[in-house]
Amino acid sequence: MEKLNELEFTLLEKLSNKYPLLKEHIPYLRVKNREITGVGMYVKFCYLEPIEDKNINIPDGSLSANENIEIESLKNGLGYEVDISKGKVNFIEFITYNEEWDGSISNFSINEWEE
Amino acid sequence: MTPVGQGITEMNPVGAGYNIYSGVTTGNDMWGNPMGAGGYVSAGLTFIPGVGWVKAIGRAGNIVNRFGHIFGKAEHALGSLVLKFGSEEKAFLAVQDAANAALKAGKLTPNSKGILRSGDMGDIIDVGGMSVRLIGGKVENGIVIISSFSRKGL
Repeated sequence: MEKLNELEFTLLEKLSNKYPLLKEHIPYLRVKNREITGVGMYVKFCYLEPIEDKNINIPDGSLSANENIEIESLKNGLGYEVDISKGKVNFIEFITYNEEWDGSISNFSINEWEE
Repeated sequence: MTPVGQGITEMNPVGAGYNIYSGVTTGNDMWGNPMGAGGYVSAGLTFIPGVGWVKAIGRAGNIVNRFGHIFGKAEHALGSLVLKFGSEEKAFLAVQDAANAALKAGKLTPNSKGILRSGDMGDIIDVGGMSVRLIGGKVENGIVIISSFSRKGL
């Protein structure tokens, strides 16, 4: 189990402004694995301890604040959403926009959705 | 696992193509690309500075990655869609056609850069009578470049 990297932590922190229950989960989250698909990445989470008795379950679904993640290696940046299953944070799905990606992240910035 | 770095001078070799000397990984990575000074490999995982340990299940530059990314995730709940259309490729093409039709009909909501939303704000399209939620995507030259899609929670 690994700690969340800066991008993962920052994204979840920002997303918790829109979904406040999410904030309660962040201290318990660790990275179970990361899978690079060539056009995105899945970051699978596990929990440091059971949370079932903490009454902080999040309704199942897919969460995103639709920020665009800008990184040096991608012209169009990254999008993302967070999968919630059985009340828990299951994984982050990172996606590219018509670009291949080797999974490297450097000097990222997170920009609000522009209409 | 601990990344090989300063102060760690030795690590067991972990697979064909990788040789680790004095804390530096040499040879090719699992995609056949030369390893840079910033990456390390152990037990099938690669350490990318700033990211952490990762497993590569796709390879940049490979067109089938998009299928693997989308259909390889059970949580996307695409089994019934693949069953309906007969294969992942045909299901993908059906979603592509439906997305383009939805765009033409003014049913998609890209931003000024052509980016489509994801998460619970993602556009839901009709694909042969089945609802599919787009996960991002980009509109270029009047067509939708699909990033990912899912049927979870619809």
